[in-house]
Amino acid sequence: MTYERYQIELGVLENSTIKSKQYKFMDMDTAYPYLAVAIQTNSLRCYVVKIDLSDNYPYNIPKVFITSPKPLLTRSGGSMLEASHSMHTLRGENGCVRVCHYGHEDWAPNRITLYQIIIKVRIWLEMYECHLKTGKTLDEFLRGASY
Amino acid sequence: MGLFDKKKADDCVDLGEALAQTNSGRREVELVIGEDGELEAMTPDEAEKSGKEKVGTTIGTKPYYVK
Repeated sequence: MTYERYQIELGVLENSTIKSKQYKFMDMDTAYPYLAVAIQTNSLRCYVVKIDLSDNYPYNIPKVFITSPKPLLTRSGGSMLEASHSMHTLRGENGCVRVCHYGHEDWAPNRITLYQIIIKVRIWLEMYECHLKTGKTLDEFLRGASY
Repeated sequence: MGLFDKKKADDCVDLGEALAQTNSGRREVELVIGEDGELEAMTPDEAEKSGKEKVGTTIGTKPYYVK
C-alpha cells in the first residue's frame, strides 16, 4: 500500500464510527503488513480481526481473518476453516476463520476502503451470532445482499 | 473504562431477520451505527431522522473514496 493510500485509509477511519483505539496498522514497513481491528457486536462480544494487506492492497482483495476467538466454531461445534458458501467463509489459515467479504465482481480498489470491509465483517459477525442462536446459516440472512 | 463504551443492545436475531426480509424484498431497512457502535436496522425514514451513520444499504455503492 502506498503512503498516499495509507493516509487516505487513516482519514476514512478517523472520520468513521470506528474508534482509534479499536484498530492498529501493524508491520507496515515489512512485506506482511496488516490491520488489526477489535470489533464488538451488539451482544458485547469482542472479536479481533486481521485484514492482510500484504498482497498488493488495494489492487487485490485482502484476506480477512478472525484471529480471536480462535477458531470460531459453528453452533454444533464444527469447524469453519473450510470454504463454505452457506457460511460466507473461505479456507482459513493458521487456525483462523477467513471471512468472505467482497467478491471479484464487487471489488473496486478506488472506491472500497478498509472501513467498508470492517463494516462488512461487523455484519458477518452479527449474523454469525444469529447462527449460534438459531442454527440458521449466514446465507439465510445475507443471501442476495449487498452487505 | 472499556474499549467500546457500548451498552448491550437488541438481539442480533432481530437484526438478522430484518436483513433477511430486506434481501428478499419483503421489507426495506437501513443499517445504521450510532456513536456507541450499536448496529441497528430501521426504516430509511427513521434512519434519516436519527442522524446516525448509514452503513448497510449503501455499503456497496457509497463512494467513500474516489481517486
